[in-house]
Amino acid sequence: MIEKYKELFECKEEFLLPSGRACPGCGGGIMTRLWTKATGGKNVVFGGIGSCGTSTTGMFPIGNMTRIPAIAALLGSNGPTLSGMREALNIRGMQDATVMALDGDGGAADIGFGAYSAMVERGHKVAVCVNDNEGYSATGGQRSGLTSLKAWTRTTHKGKDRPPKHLPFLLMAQDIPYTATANIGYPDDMYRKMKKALDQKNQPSLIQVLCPCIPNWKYEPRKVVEVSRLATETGMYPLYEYEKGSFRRTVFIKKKKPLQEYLKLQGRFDHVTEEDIKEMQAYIDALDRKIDGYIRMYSVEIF
Amino acid sequence: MEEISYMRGNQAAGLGAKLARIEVMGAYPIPPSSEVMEQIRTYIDKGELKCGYVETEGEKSSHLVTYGAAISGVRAFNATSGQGIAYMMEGLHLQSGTRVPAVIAVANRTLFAPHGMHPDHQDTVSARDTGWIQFHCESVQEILDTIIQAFKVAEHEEVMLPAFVCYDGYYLSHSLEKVTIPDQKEVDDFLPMYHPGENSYVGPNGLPMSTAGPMYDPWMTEFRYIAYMALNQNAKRVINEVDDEFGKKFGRKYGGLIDSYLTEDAEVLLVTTGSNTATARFTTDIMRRNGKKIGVIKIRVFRPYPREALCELLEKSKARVIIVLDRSPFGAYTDEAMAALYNLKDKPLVKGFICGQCGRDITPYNMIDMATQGFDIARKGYVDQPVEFYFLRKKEG
Repeated sequence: MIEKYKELFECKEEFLLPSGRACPGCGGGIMTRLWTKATGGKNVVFGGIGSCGTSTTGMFPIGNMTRIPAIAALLGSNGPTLSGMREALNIRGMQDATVMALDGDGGAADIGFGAYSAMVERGHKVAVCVNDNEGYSATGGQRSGLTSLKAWTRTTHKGKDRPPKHLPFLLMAQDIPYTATANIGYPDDMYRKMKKALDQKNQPSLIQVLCPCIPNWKYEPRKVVEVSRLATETGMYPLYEYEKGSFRRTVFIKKKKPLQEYLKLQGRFDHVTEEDIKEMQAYIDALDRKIDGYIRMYSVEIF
Repeated sequence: MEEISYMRGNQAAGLGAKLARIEVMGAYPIPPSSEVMEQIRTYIDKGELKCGYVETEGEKSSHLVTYGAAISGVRAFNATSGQGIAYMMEGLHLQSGTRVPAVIAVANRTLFAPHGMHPDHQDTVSARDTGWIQFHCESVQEILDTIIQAFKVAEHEEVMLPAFVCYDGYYLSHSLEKVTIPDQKEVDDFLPMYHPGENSYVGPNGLPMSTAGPMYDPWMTEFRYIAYMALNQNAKRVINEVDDEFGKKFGRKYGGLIDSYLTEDAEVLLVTTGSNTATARFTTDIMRRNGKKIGVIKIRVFRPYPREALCELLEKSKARVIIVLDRSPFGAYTDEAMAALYNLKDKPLVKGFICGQCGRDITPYNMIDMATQGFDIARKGYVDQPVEFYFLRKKEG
């Protein structure tokens, strides 16, 4: 087991500072820690911080959330800010510098999707990591485009009635060089994807990472990893990646766990009925078929 | 070597940016300013300018490209009009608040609705309290020179604020005028290649430093204070200094914050902004030939508003009535002039005419009529209606 995670400890330095104001049991904190570690921390700049990143940054100048400099862009405008920074650093002969962003699901999939889509189309070398906590957590927990089916939020009291978007699917349609979903419950897989996203040569990349959120998902803080893993194990949040025209699953679930195991750990699914569960099961099956379809559609590489 | 050429306002804006050696341009087309981005692209393709060029999916993004580039330590430029300014609005506050210099050329255009292409100043007036410096140009030559000056002002270490260089769409953006093109070497001398100084965000490793973090803190009032002082105190001084220096080097001066024409012995003054200044100068000559003493004050810099300069000018002048030719549909220019003169001991009467909306022409005849009304006011000694729409077309019959 230790051997498996060896790579995580390649970078001994920590870049996430204690002044961060994440809740205990925050999935986003785990993700941010590894995302900053994956960059190596040198010659790197955050071109945009979205999501809970902004509200957990801490008090200036006593402490920023990370030791990596961060430009606070506008919600939904990280795409162009990153492009501008990349272009300027290229002009100044600093092609090696990494420009990256940490954005939220709302910032990336709703208000900022057009901006990201255009950024990917322009093809600047930029790496984006999306903190997918399935809602607008920094603003108090409202419904977002990535909120999962039937989940309670402060604006969907009876559960969201529409399935979520999948950012990687949307960006695959415009041939982004690298995109993937990841899950903080599978840190080795996530870390590998982060590294890959950062190592793209002169090309954009985006990964969407599932990060459970305590106040809105309503689970016990110590169960953050369990909840996160169950999302993948039940098929609600399949892990896959798309790289230069080839699409593959990265975590295979041979036998899916029953959905109830995932739902019962979280307060946001308290209201679900038998019918809702059937609907969710149908969504999971459809998603599975869709992914299989993508695997057939794009040249298959066995990972 | 200086060169004389004929060009349109948009070309002059593009050429000004080229002479200023911009390094990144964020671009999104909107008439009447689209020609500027085409011009820059042409320079890049011909190899005359080394510049990053990012075409975006909207003005908000094109502005944020400019912002992202400027914060990373290069000289950044952009051009837009009307709706573009409205769409950029959120980022404009971000940029002036973080004190990142850049220049945007604005060909003024009507803001919807009514749906129009022709100029009035509602677009830049709605951005008056964004903390940006606003220059308004009178001629094509002034556009070229002001772009160069604006970079120097914006990047001055005591200012560090972004600037708009505004010129009336179509009136200036598309009219051909004679322009003296300054020599590149002399421009380089006046405005050296941008080097991010100590005040900039660029850190010792060459990367931009954090702007994220300042949240929740009531002591950010001081951020506001220093930005206010930079705009209302330092920028006013620096704009005058830069204009003087420019005048010495190139022989063309625009008066810094405010320009005046025959004001000292005038009885009525026309206060203008933008392209109608030239018409006002012409009108003044005609009126004076008939023995009516009028003069012109050109508000060259609308933000920071030249309050002191305006008061000083009126203290020296005999004029007891000023007529504001207000191209902003809700009378902002009149309000500003009134506010500036309020504390003056012997203050003149102020009358604003909202005119030239949605590109309606302001002819010398109109100006003569306005000035005549000004003389009436001077005789009566009071103003009936301080702000009035000028010359509305009436329904016939």
